[in-house]
Amino acid sequence: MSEERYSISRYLLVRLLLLIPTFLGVSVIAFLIMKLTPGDPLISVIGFGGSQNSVTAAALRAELGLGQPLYIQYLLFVWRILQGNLGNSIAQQVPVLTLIGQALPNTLLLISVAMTFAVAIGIPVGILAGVKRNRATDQAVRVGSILAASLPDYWLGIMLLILFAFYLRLFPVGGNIGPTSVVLPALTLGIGLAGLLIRLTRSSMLDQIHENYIRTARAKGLSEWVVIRRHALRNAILPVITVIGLQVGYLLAGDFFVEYVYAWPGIGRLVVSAILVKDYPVVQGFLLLAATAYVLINLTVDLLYTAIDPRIRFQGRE
Amino acid sequence: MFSREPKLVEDSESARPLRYEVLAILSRDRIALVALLVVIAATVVALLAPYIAPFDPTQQQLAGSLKGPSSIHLLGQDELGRDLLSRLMYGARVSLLVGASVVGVSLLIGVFLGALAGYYGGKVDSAIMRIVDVFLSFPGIILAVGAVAVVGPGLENVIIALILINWPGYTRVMRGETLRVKENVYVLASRGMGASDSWIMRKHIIPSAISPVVVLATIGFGWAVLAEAGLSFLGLGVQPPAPSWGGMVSEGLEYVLIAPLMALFPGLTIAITVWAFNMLGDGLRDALDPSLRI
Repeated sequence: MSEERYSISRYLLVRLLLLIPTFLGVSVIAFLIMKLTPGDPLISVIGFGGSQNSVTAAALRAELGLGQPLYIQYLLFVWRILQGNLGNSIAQQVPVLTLIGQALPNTLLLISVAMTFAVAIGIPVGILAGVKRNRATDQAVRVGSILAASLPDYWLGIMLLILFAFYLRLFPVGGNIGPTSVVLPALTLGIGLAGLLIRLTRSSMLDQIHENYIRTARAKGLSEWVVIRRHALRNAILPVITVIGLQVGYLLAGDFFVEYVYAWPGIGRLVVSAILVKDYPVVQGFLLLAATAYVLINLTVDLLYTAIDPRIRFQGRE
Repeated sequence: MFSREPKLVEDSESARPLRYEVLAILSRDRIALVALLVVIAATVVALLAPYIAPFDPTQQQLAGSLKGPSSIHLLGQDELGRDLLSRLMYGARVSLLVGASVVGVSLLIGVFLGALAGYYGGKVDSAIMRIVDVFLSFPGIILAVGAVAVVGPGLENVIIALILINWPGYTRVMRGETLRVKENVYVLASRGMGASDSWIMRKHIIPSAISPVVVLATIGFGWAVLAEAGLSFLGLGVQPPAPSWGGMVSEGLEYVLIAPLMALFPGLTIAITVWAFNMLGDGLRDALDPSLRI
């Protein structure tokens, strides 16, 4: 037991140490991606003439360290991050953390409603396809789920918007103006996610259905429904939960097309707008937070996995 | 970390060349066959667009602005009276060129680096995989949007940005497969007989480990088409008046209430093309994964 605890803490330590080079790399890319942008970022804020002369421009330059050599700018950047300061948005003159803090609840709301929809559709349909493997139902689900995952979400968003908001007038056209505002964006996002979950649940069910313990359960005379619900599904659901966790991390920014089309005031829309006006503190702050969230979610999922599934032992970084 | 004991693994991967495997799959899987036909049709249209498109895709006929389908303009005309069908045909060139370039280059980088990392292990592996980890830590499409915003919009920049976010995935899969394959007894035998590392990699490792990478490449092709369309939708891809599918959806968005077909057709074209690549990848995966073959 103590040996096992030792191996768990060693595994955790190794994983945490490996995050250091990853974060260094992430900070270099976040720093460089906007540093390499041609043109003066201040132009988009205070106009062409103003960016060269005004007192505001000078103050902003000093704050961002824009006159310093590149490596000093990088060190200042890392120093600010370590203090938990992601800087101010150039365009809005508001701390980046405030902007992200305002947008995050909207994105989380959108993701959770979309994920609920995707799980409600994806898991039952995936189980059905797995159980009816290679029959007509499975083939129809296969074509449909892959199509759902292949639809460009901005286009699907536009089509649903025309149908349900303009013609049928069932939902608001855009923004977040009430509880019904989230329905269409969540549906748009959820359709693609449901396609993904159907495929995953199906293949995960197939993995389990051929295991010996399922054969044993059937040999005991249990009904097929009980075999599937009590035995196969319990094990098949693990990888699906993992992917749901990872998708939440991905969607924190990956939903930006949907946010863009529906004018949903979330993180994705904030970042794409910031990229388009070269508001690089916002982009840098977002990249750092997104990478941190993604890496930590990954680590948590791995740790949960090792905790849930006793077959997985801690073998170094593999 | 990894067992150096030789494993008596049956050399099933190299028993049957991949192309025969693919043909066998398609003869059994009708849906994957339909998907292949869609891919071939899209490729033929892209290659022959200048010869088969009924109109010049940039030719304006303002009198026909926003007109619906007719016997002359089968899918209708856009706000400048340009023929939508011709624009879709030319747009296929952009989408497939991006798909082929992104997948081709990412595949080359991924296979090379993944094989190196998996085969040599140790510091080479650590160095390569740390870089891969960094790239995989970012939400891919945002990194692509950021990268295109840095270097400026345009076809070449879109291709470079998508390669930037794609190669790590191929590297990771190739490394995993290399780790699995390199313990096979025929690899150990070759090494025992004095074969050089590069010979072993070219003759044994890469041919045996390539199947999952091919599956990834097929699905990755669809992903690249979707991503290019997304970047063009945001105005970061091919610049007007040149046609691209994502750009056409974006143009259609402005007139969506009076001429919904203008946004409908390019979106459907993207969806069907991406579906075909994903379906083909799915068929290949089902057939190449022995655990699902039962």
